[in-house]
Formats: sequence, structure tokens, C-alpha cells
Amino acid sequence: MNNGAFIFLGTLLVMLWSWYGIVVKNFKDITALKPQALLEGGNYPAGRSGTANLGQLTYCANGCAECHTMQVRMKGYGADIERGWGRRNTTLQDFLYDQQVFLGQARVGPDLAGVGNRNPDVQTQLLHLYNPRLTAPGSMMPQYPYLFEKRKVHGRASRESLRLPDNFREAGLEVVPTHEAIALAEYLVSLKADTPIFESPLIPKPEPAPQNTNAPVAGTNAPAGTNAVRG
Amino acid sequence: MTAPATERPPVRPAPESESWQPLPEDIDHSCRYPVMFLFTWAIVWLIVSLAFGLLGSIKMHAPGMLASIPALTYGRVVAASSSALLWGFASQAGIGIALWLFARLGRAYLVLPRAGLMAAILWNIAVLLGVCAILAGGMTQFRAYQMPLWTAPIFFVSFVVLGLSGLLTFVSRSERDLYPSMWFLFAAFFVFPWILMAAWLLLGHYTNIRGTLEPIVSIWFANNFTLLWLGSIALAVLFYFISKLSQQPLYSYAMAGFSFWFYLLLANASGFQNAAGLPNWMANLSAVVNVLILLPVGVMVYNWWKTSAGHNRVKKEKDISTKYVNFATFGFVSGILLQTIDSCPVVDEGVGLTVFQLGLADWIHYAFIAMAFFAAIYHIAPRLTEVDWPSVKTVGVHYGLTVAGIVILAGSLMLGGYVQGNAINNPGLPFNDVVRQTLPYIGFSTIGILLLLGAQLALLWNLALLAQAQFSACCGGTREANR
Repeated sequence: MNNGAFIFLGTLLVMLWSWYGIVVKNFKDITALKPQALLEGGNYPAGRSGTANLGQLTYCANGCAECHTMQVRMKGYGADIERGWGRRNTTLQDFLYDQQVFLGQARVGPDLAGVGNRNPDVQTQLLHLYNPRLTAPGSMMPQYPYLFEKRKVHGRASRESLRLPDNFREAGLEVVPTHEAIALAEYLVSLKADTPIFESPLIPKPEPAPQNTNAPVAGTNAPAGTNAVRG
Repeated sequence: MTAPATERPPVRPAPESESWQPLPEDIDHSCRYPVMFLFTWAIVWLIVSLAFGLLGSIKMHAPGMLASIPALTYGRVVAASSSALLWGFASQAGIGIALWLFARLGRAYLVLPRAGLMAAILWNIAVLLGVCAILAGGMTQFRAYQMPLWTAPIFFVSFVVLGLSGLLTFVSRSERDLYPSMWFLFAAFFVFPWILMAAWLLLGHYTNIRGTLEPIVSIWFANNFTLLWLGSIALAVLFYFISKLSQQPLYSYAMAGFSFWFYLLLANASGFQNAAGLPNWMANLSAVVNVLILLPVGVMVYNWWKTSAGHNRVKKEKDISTKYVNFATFGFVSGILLQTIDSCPVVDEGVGLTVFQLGLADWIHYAFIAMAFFAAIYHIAPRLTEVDWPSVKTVGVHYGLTVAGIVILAGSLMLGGYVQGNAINNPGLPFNDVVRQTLPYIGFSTIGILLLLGAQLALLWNLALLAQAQFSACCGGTREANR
């Protein structure tokens, strides 16, 4: 192998195989993805609101994906579904209309693929962002005070101000979320990948396991009968 | 180890003759400014990266600390740390080492050294802009490319010049035989602009591409960045030093060729093994290539072992690079092995999507790539400056602290990932308890980062002493007076 041209050609072929097999193949597959029609009407996914889409920018800019994943693993593979992180495993279909997709790598914090189901209230999400210890005592999540504005109350408190518990309230001051915080909270609330689709049908909720044992939770791997996809 | 002689023979054959080859010290001299510049700033960026990493690690225990400063929020600090490591340190040191190896192995003067120096300055400006932009809130979610993608064209322009410098040196070589290190360097210099452009166009430029393609392209990019760009340069270093330090020719070129092609062919499809949200065939493909890659890696190790076993132990043990090369070899083999084990579904169910992944990435970045690059820097820097390392003790301190730091950092994160994975897979355990069980391990990893930071400060100090000695040797008195 003393010929530079030989090494060049070989490396080119290797990179072409990687390029075609991973990038081009997926480019074709993903471009062909379409929203699925549901039995109960409508399409999945329906897309997020404009505010929620803006929230992706804030989610990205603050590195939320460093600690949070958005990928629920299938039933029988880990305990993601038993933990209530989602009702089925995540597929790329769930992010069809998203400009940015945050699958994440490590779960320093809980998975967020279905956080909108667990916690559908924007006000609670905002409180959690302002100080996570307010809604989840003992949490190690950083607080994001810079997404909020502290200002003096003139007369009555503003309608958007956070409803803080008494020991966190400062006299004469109110905490108002910025538009970034609201967009981020709207985005979090919009994360609910739980509609049954063809490649990821819904598994019925398991019987609760008896307390204080490590026995596996009841349930089978049999495919669920509730495949709600037409065609 | 002594500095190479600087005396030039009074007469040498005319350049026109067939057998003429430049002297090694003249080649070193031609590399001096761009390569030393790249090395110095690489080490500075490594220190910056570790300082950010330390801050991030402390914030894991004190979430309220400095919380009101947006630039210092955990996510941004960690992204700045990893960008400074991959782009400021590893890529920069790798380019410097590659240029020197191109010149030395091809027995040719480095081509375009001044343009290379300018390009190296541009590279540092790009890293600086990228890291500042991350802190200002411009980060992306792409693995290994968390700087905003408008920095990619700057890196590209800089790399075109540096790559051209390497390529023209390769073309003008007077030694026609290509040593295996050259193959790896050639592959690395070919892969890098390709993946950089792919990242820029597909992730940053054409915004009408579906967002769902992004995780796939970014994992593909990150994997090739680590294994084929930085990894190839680190393997070139290992091939060079294992033969050099034992003063033996490589045991088998055929084996080296086999391991080169199969490593290249398989490593580029790795990286998807833990991605549960992607189509299943991708995780399976990566798991399969991660098993198959053990074959070329095994052949490489056998080849290295046969090359170095028993020969010239005295010379090997005298050289300061030896222990770094040994550790990097161990880091490479164990890193690939861990990656293979990690892609088995049984293991992935436990430690996939936990801090184990961060520990494994740290292991490959530090124990394999950074250690190989340190070995090369310790070997090359005194040849370029024509002065010995001023403090051998500091080298020992650097080695000890670095190894301890790497083992503690990566080991505690991997153990922590195992504990965390078990806790997550126990659905009865509230998530706060999962975090509480993982935190002590993250605490240990903070100590690892602290040790690594101390080690790199020692290296920078040694490098500063080297520069001072070189300055006084060339400009402040006679060379003999400073010996």
C-alpha cells in the first residue's frame, strides 16, 4: 500500500458506504414519513402550537438535553413505561413536525417524552422552572431565575405572575415569567407522545406490583389489541 | 533522552540527486512554528475545558450556585466544556501531530508552514467564537458539535489550509514507502472535511430538512468525529511509537493493512447502539459492527505486541513517551471492548441512557485519544524547540495525575451509570431516590476532573519552561551556557 491514490480510493469507498447506508437511506425514509390518520379522526402528530415550537429554542439554548432524554424504551426493555414516563415507546413519528429533536443521551433527570401527560399545567411547569424544589422537593435540577422577571407590585399583582408559596414570596414583589419561560413551559406541556400508532401500539396499563417485592410487574409481551390505526 | 543535535554536516548531497533526503532536524525546524502553536493552544483549551467541566460537576451538587447567570447554567457550561475538549484540544493537537508525522514519515519539509500558522490562528478564533456563543445561548443539540453551526465554514477554511499543508507534504515526500501511520493520517484528513461539510449542510444550512433526521446525522457525525477523525490520528500515533520506541520494524504490514481497512469500514457505522428513539435497525447495525470491530482491533494489538515484545526494553523504558503510549493502547482496546459490551441489549437495558454513556465517552476521549496525543506532544515538542523538557519530575506528576484523574472520572461515572440504571429499572423507586443514589458517584467524578485539571496545569507550566529555555538558548546567550 505505497500508493496514495489507492488509499484515497479505498477511503472514498468506505465513506460512501457510510454516507449512503446511514445518511442517504435515512434521508429517504424520513422524508417519506407522513402523519398517520387515526380511527377516532384527525392525524398524528397534529403539530405543536407556535408558542410551543418557540419553546424548543429555549430548551436547546439552555442545554436541557444534557440531562433529559426524550426516548421512552419499549415495554419489557427497562422500566420506562412502568415508571409512567410514557404509555408506549417513542418513535421518530412523534417528532414529525419538530424543527429540533432532543433525543438526549443520559437520564440525569427524568425522561420528558411524555411530560405533558404527567404534568399538563403550564403554571406548575413555570414554578418548576423557577425553582424545581417548589414542585419536586429534593430535585437536583438547576433553577432558571433568569427566565423570570422580578418586579414591584403596583396595586394588584399581575395576572401572569407566579403563584409562589408564602415562604418564597417577597413582600411587594412579584415574579413574572418572560416570554421565553412561557414558550418553554408550553413546549413541555405539548410533549405527550402517547397516541397509539402503527409502529408503536398502546400497551394496556399493567396491574400494580405488590408493594415491597422485586417481582416483575404483571403484563405480557403479547401485542395489544387496541391498534387504533386505520389502513 | 537528549535533544537532537543541531550541528549540520558541512557538506551534503545536492538536492537534485536521487538519494537526497532532508535531515530530521531540518524537517523539525520547518514544522516548528505552526506545530508548536497548535500544541500550546491545544493545552490551553484543554485547561479551559476542564475548568468548565469542574464548574459543571460542582453545579450537580449545588444546583442553586450561580443560577442567576444565564451563561453559567449547567447545560451551557457542560456544552462549552465538551466543545473546548473536542475542537480546542483534541482536533488542534491532532492536526499538529499529523502535520509533523506527515513531514517526518515522508522525509519532507512541511509545506506552507506560514499559511498553516495563520490557519491555526483562525482555528482558535473559531473555537473561541463557538464557546462564547454557547455561553451566550447559541448552542445546538448536536453531539460533538454543540457550537453554533455558523462556525463550521470558519473551521473548514482553516482546515483546508492545514489539510493542504499536510497533503502537499505527503505529495512531496522523498520516502516513497508508506508506513501504516500515513494511511491512518490520510484517512483522517479525508474524513474530516466530509463530515464537517455534512454537518454544516444537513444540520445547519438546509433548514427545510426534517428535524427528525437531525439526531441520526448528528450521531453519525459524532461517531465519525471520535473514531475516524481523532481516533485515526491517535492510531497513527500508536503505530508510529510502538515501532519507534522498541526500535523494531513493524511486525506485519499485511496485518496492518487488514486492520486499517476493516477498522475504517466498521467504525463508521457505530454510535447508534443506545439510541432507543431511532429505528431499530440502526441500533442493531451498530451492535453488529461493534462486535465485528474486535477482529481488526485484535489484529492491531497482536501486530503491536509482536513488534514491541522483548525488543530493546532499555530504550523503551527510558523514553518519557513510553508510559503514555502504553496507557493509550490500553485505553483504546478497553474502550472498544466496553463499547462492544455496551451494545449488547442485556447491558444496554441496564446502562444505556445513563451516566455510564458519559463515562465511556470520557474514557475514549481521555484514556485513548488524549493519552496518545500527550505521548506525541512529549516526543515532538523537544525536537521542535531543540531543548529538553526542563522538568522530568513534572512529566511524572502529569502522568500520575492524568491517569488517576481519567480512571476516577470515567470509572466513577461508569459505576454510577450501573447503579443509576438499576435504580431506574426499579419502577417502585421514586426518581429523587434514583438521583440520590447516583450523586456520590458524580461526586467522585468531580475529584477526577480536579486531578486532570491539576495535571494539565503542570503540563502547561512545563511547556512554559520549555519555551523560556528555548528563548534563552536562541536569543539570550549561547546554547552551551544553558545546557
